[in-house]
Amino acid sequence: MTTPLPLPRFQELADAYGGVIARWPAAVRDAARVTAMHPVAAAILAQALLLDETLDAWQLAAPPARLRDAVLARAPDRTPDRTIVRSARLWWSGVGIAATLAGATAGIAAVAMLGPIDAPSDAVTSFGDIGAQES
Amino acid sequence: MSVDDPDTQLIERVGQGEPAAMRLLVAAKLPRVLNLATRMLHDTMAAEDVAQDAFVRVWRNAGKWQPGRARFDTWLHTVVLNLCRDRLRRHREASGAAVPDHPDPAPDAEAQLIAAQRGRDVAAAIAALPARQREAILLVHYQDLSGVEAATALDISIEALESLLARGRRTLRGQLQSQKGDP
Repeated sequence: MTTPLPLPRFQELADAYGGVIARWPAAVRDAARVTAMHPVAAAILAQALLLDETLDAWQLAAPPARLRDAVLARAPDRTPDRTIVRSARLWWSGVGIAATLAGATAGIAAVAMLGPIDAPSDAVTSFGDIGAQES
Repeated sequence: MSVDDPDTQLIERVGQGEPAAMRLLVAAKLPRVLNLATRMLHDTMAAEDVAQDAFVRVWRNAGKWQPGRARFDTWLHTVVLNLCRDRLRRHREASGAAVPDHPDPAPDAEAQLIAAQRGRDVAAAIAALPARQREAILLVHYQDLSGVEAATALDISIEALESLLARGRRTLRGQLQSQKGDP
């Protein structure tokens, strides 16, 4: 069984947090509810509730839609933009084409320059004996 | 200090730039942010500026938010309080040292903010409280923060918070309930 909260502490909490025990610190709520059954405690709560209700008279309007839109308009746009994605794809395909061309050029140059070591004539290349093919 | 924060997942998604999460966050927090700023400043346009500035800080910090320290909602309240205090301080400096530490409610803004005479009386009574008592009551009664959260936002102990609340409420009771009895 929950031990009741001492009346002086009950009074302090009602003075601070008001007449709704759900707003009081979680650790004391159960004990406070037990104490609240006492007539003196019930009167303390009723008095605190009276002030709560008075304070609740100060109501404000909901935020206008234009403010919500303005707040969202200043949010960062981190979603990948389609234009950026397309540009990135083009960039990478450009890199691929350039690399392919560079490789092909280097290969042709190497093949053309490096003839077989035992080439019988200047007409013999890695692609074969050009002179013999021509004759 | 590790805390259980219901906003953690939403903030992570905001930090990743999810537009739907941003809309959810604004829907959930903008009313709270605007209410606190309005009650602090008594000026609709200034409160809207504060709300926008507060969310700019949210967008800037969401990506590096570290769960487990303070709750996001508490941090957001601290941001709003600081922005409002800055404005009140600038207002004081611009108006001269003799100006009290709360603005007089502007009649035109007030008309939009407060529907009834009773609400105006409450707003005026709260505006007349010392700054720390006013902030404590706004956070706990109107923003519905727990004692621990409000104490964290105000950077004071829970005992100090309870003392501010009790003194503030005592003053308000004396003022508002005597007005209630006036013919």
